[in-house]
Amino acid sequence: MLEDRLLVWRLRRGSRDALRRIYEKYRDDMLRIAAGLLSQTNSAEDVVHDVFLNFVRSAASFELTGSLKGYLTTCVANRARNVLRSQNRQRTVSLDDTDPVVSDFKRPDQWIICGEQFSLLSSALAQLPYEQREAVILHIQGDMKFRDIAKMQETSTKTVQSRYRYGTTKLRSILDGEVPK
Amino acid sequence: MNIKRWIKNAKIKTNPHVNQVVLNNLLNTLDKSKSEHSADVQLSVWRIIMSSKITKFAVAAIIIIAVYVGINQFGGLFSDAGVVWAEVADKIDLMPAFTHRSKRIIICDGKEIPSLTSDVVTYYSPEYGIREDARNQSGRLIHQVYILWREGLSVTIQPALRQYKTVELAAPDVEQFRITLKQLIQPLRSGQYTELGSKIIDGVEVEGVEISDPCLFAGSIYPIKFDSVVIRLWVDVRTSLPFRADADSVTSDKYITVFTGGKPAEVKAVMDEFQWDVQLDQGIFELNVPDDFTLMTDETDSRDEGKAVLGLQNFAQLTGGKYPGSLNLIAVIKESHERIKNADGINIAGCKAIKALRPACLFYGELVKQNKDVVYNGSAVTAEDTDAVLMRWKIADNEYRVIFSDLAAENVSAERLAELEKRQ
Repeated sequence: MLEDRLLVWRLRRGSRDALRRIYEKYRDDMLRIAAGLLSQTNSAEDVVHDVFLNFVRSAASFELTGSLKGYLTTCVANRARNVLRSQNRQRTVSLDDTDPVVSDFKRPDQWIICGEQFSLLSSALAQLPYEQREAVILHIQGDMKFRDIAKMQETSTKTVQSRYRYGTTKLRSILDGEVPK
Repeated sequence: MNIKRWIKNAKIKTNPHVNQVVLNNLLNTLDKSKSEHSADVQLSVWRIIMSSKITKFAVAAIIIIAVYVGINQFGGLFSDAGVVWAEVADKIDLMPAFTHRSKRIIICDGKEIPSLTSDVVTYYSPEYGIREDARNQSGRLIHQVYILWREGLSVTIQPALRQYKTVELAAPDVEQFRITLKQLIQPLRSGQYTELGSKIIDGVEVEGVEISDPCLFAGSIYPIKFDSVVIRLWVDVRTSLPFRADADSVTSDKYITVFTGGKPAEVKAVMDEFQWDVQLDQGIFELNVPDDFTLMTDETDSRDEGKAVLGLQNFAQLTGGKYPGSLNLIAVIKESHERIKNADGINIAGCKAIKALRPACLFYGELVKQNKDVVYNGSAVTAEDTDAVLMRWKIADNEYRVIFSDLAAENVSAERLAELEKRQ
């Protein structure tokens, strides 16, 4: 936490070294969260890339009030939800009406490499309603508190806890049959 | 199955090539943002300076204390191929004034105290002194330090406590207060340091040394005492001037531990954005303390009537029979500063007068705190007056203690006091 505050302070003053350290520290976590929220790794990669890009662009005026990981996780979750909404809309409207991405920068290759365990998890998560998936991923992988997730989902903490409980129960039943003991 | 642990352990890997490509894109974006919005960045970074009344200079940052103390430790040539540390000291010495910015974090029991995290701006003038303003994350001023050469004092102001404290500077002769960094460096060159080699920080090639010395600030003019200090100083290879410094220290000084319940605290600081050879207006070093702020004291401070009277006597002798207009110590310092400002050289009498009055200011402050109905008439009464009431306070229901203009003291009834005050 202390290191993050110093890194953000230095980044605000244009430090490339600080940006590198922040990126290397949180890149994999954010990709994992995005991949857990979205079934498609391409979309997850775009989300994380855009989050970091926006972060850099607003660096000069950025004020860190909580944890940096929490901030980035929230950005990833918000953007993932927007991507999902736009994907759902694409099924009924033309592509011209979709949300613009921040950057048209093209990555040369696939960024995320899923191991077997994560692939199993991703398939299982895809079977959950999105709110349950979000509650599970953000709490377990994003280390977010239920009340912060509730704020993001615009609902009560109790509701989030219920979603988390239902989500993990369903995941356990799906994965119990898949995962070797 | 522990589903939570299983999910936590489900990791991914990332393509190293793509990691680098994305990073390069982010770095390019950062560079572009910097160049496109450099003026805006300056404003946002320096909003505190720009919004203050002191806006004449286009300066950057701070850290006099750590920098010059760090410089003071360099004992000679650094290496044949790298930074010549003696040159670093010499270069700083040639600068008439400089400023610098820093970020400080205070930690107790392993936890950061967010309310004390501060952005600090410091100004150094070899002519006037040092001033440091520390603001919290909301931009509120949390402390100010003035180290004033001519007054021979350091004054630390704590807005949150509505208090201030003063420390007399150690040099016996006020003339020494105007010595340059070079003269300060010589007695301290015996310190030891560890070479850290070279690296690139923010695109600048730097070389560094680490200095670790529990006595690093001992005897210094800085108002806080540290139990241990480690400083890593990085110098720009091209200019031989300090570029950045990191400091880790531990302190038991009550000025800090008043916020930690008496527990020792760690102070971590990152210092950069040095601006050398800047013009600093004398107005920067004018004390600005609200009138209702009280003097911070400890058990060793005397609150004795006898010492208070002696202090007033000394002051009157130094000033040709005049008493200070107020017994608020800041007002006394300012009053003396006015005299000092107009003098050709250091006004030694002014400095001694400030020092003499401290017991009287403490005594007066104590009476105010105890609601003793104290009144001080120094602005209207001089040592030449006859039977005029200089100061009085209540000691019992119908009884007052009076100090007269000739510094004689007497207990009088309330009626008698009324008569005396009517005559004035």
